[in-house]
Amino acid sequence: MMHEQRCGCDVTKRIVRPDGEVRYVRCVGVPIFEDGVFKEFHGTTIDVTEQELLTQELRRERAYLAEAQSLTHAGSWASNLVTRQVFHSSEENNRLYGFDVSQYPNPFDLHYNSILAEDEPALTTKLENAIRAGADFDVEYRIRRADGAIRFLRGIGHHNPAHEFGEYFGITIDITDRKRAEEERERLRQLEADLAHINRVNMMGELAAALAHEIKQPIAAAVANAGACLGFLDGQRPDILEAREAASGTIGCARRAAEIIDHVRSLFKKSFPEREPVDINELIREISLLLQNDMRRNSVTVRLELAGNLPEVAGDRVQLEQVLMNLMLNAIEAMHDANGDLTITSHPGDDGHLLISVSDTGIGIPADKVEQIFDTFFTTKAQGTGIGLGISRSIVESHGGRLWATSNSERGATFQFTLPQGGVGT
Amino acid sequence: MITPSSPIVFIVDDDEDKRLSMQRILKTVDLRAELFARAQDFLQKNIPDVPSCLVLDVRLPGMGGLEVQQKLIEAGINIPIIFITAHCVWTWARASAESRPRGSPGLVLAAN
Repeated sequence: MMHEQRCGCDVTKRIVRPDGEVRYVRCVGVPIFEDGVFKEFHGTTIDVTEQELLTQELRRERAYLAEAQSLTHAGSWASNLVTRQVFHSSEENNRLYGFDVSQYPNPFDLHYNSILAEDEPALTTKLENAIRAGADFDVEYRIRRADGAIRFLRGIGHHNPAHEFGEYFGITIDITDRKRAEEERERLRQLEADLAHINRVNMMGELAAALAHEIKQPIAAAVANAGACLGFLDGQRPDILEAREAASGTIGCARRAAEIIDHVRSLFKKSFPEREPVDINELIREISLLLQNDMRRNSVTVRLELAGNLPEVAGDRVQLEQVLMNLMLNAIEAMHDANGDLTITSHPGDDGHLLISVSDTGIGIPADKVEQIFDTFFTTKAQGTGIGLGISRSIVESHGGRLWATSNSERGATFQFTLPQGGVGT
Repeated sequence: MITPSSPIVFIVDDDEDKRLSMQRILKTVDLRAELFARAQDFLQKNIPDVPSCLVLDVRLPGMGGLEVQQKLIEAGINIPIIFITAHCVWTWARASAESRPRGSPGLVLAAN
């Protein structure tokens, strides 16, 4: 290697020693001048084999690390979140955010400013809390990358107490694919819930139609018998015997109609041998989730005030679900597009009963109607069958509880029902 | 007076009260009725050569009203049918009317 006369040299090269061993040596030379004329080089040779091997090892390690980060879409960083200094931001970390850090004086602001405005306040609060407590954090947030793409990131930060206040080392992981899959799953789950809801609502209508059909048959027969009876009595030569038969036929048919109604009532009244323990809070949460869409559509906000450690009730899960669903759907409909609040509470009441209440801020119930609404087929809704509240009351009573309605002093109505703890049917 | 040559109304309905009450009504106007709980029983019957019609419930256990009509058409039996149904099903009524051969006796739809 040739050197300019006025410059020094500093090179690292490999040499082979007589015994065949390869060593790395660093040669540093300084030119010496006399009266401005170059005279000679003074130099020194250092064996740097150990350092060189270490450096190579480090380079390899770094390459592996970078490869691992790129494979897992995880970037590493080190930063003081208080002073907003960035000590380290790996290549993958920069790639996740989609910009070239070397072009910016303060990458911290660059990172922070790409966070979506709607995610920023919650994220800041979490970070501030962690920093104040000197605790680790694990957060999820969305960013808008330089290319405009929205990505979901997960940030995990670790604070070493030996370090400065606010100093964190951490990793950033791109979880966009996982989030999208989760969203898709959530969408499907919601769809399923909607379908289940539609089925339940339709079930009420179908039950009413089937009931109407069952009762209509004997009534039609009774009318025909009575018509025949009149026919036998009218005319030139009344046939008393046949008229008698037709009249008793009428009675038989009318009795049958009454029996069908009794039977249906007994279905709701009778205590089912298969009572299972039901966690009423879990049921409330489940139905709230199921009705999420209805609430969103009607701009209703739900608030659950559920007592902890509530004892279970022994009951028919599906029937109790129907009661809750019915009361909540009524409440939601009463607050149609009125930015209403739906409050559901549960707490232990008197004499070993649980008390569950469903309050809305809707149109309310006129004082003279608070009992009438429980009459079967009484409805204030254009599409309603009016059997919902009647059936709900029957179900609650069959569980040994009570269901009643009150008008709220401010706005809306409150429906409350009690259920005995480990309740026995009547 | 009901004689062997007087008209017959065949009634196919799975509800006994309805069958009996219809029979009574018909009796008041001197029409005899023959009752069947199942469509299959009616189809096995030899229909005598007297004026007759069939009162047929749309929904029957086993064989439904439309199927009975189809079987009658296939067997070349021309008998006017009065369908009774608790369900107002116009698409069904149209299907029934369209499957009826041209020139065959009419079809009456009545809701009970």
